[in-house]
Amino acid sequence: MEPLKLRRLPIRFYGLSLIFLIGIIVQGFKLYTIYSLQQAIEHPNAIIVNENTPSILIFAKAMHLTQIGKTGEAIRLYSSLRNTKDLDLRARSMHNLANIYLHDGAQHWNARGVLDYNYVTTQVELAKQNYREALRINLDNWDARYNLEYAWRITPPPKEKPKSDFKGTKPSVFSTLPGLPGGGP
Amino acid sequence: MMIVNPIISAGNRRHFTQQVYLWSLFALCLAWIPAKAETSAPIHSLEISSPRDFGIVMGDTISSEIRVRMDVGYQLETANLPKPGSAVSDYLEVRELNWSQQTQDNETTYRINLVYQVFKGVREPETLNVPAIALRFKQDDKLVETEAPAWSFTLSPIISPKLLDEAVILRSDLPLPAINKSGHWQWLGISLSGLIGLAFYAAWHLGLPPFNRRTPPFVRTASALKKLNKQPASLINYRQGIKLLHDALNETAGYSLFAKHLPKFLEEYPQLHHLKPDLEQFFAASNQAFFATATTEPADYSLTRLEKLCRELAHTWHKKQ
Repeated sequence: MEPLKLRRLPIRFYGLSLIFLIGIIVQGFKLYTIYSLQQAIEHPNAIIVNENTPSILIFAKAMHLTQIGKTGEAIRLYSSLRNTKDLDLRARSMHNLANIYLHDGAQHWNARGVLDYNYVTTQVELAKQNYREALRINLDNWDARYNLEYAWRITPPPKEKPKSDFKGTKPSVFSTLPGLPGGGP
Repeated sequence: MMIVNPIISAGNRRHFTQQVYLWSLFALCLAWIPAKAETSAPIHSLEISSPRDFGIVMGDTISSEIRVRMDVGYQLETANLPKPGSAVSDYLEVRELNWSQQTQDNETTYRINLVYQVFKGVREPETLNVPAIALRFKQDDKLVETEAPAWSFTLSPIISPKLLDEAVILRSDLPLPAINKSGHWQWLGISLSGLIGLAFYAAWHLGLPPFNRRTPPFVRTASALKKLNKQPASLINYRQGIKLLHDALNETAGYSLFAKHLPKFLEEYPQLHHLKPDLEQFFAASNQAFFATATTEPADYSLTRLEKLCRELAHTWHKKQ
């Protein structure tokens, strides 16, 4: 008995089928990746950061560390996103990094004032640099503008030069050298 | 006769020599002045404008346009202009730089557009300066230098000046960016719909479920034969009609049905058994149509009869189903 010969389908049917099949595979994979990322973001303490960790997970981990007070580690993670290709994420990282510096600087400024001059100056300058970086990427970030203006407001004034205790005018350095006592022979 | 005092004479000579030097210097100055005038003359006018120089706050961008009208032939030296991303002062950075050149009526107009971003916090409105920019134009070995003058703008604070530093509440951290899934769902939906659509098309095209049940092969063929019967009678149409009925029988059987398979086919479909003589006649007519040297449809088995047989097959099939 001869098998029934199927009627042939047009070639464009196979082409279109292949395109739609590839579309399903690609979009399905992307959605799977997104859902995996979302699962990881919901448990930031379980995120292990290494060189293969996606930028968004590093950001989530840094946010979590800031919330639990581990700002040193958060600074390290946010700084690692300084060169990420995702400009939006980079701008957000710089903003949050600046916030850590500014909060710290402002706390010291309000608590100890000029006694912590060097520390406050350093923290505030770092905050300003990072806010500027965030604003270079996204000038619609009004929170960064506000905080940067505040950073300018609390920037300690430059230190005055210590007064010299040197008195009198001397024509040359030799005149300050001890000489013979007066009344000598 | 005047006696010339050698001393006086020497003084006069010295005076004369001084005068000569002075005149020479003057002559040199005269010669130099036109040269200087020639250097600055190529520039006819220089204007600078800004669309807005007030209501500017921290982080805003301000733009300015420098228009230089000058002799034709001079090229702007762009290497001298500030680069995007560079700082021109403690609080101003260049964001964009572009320029254009237009020549009309023996005059070239250069338009240099500069966009700056302001990074300065103030407690009260302050007037700030945008520094002057050196411009250089070159034509062969002639160099013309000029300067776009400095201009000023007013910078206003964002935070209320009345608010004490201690009372300012800092803006919080920025959250994670939203992950957009809708685009992917949309494309997945489109791809799935497309594939399902193609599957339906294939089923319809091949007469597979669900289309084979709704429109049995004999029903489809009967309507096709009716259309064919309306056309002028010809051997081509007749052969086409026979082929259509063969296709319907093949599709129903699931294999290519020949006359020798007819008993087996009728065993499989006993409801068609009463049409056995008609089917045998159909196979005989088919053989004649395709393998005999006929030129028209046979009188004893016309296309009308073919249609009638097909309708009967469809009717019996439908009744059984």
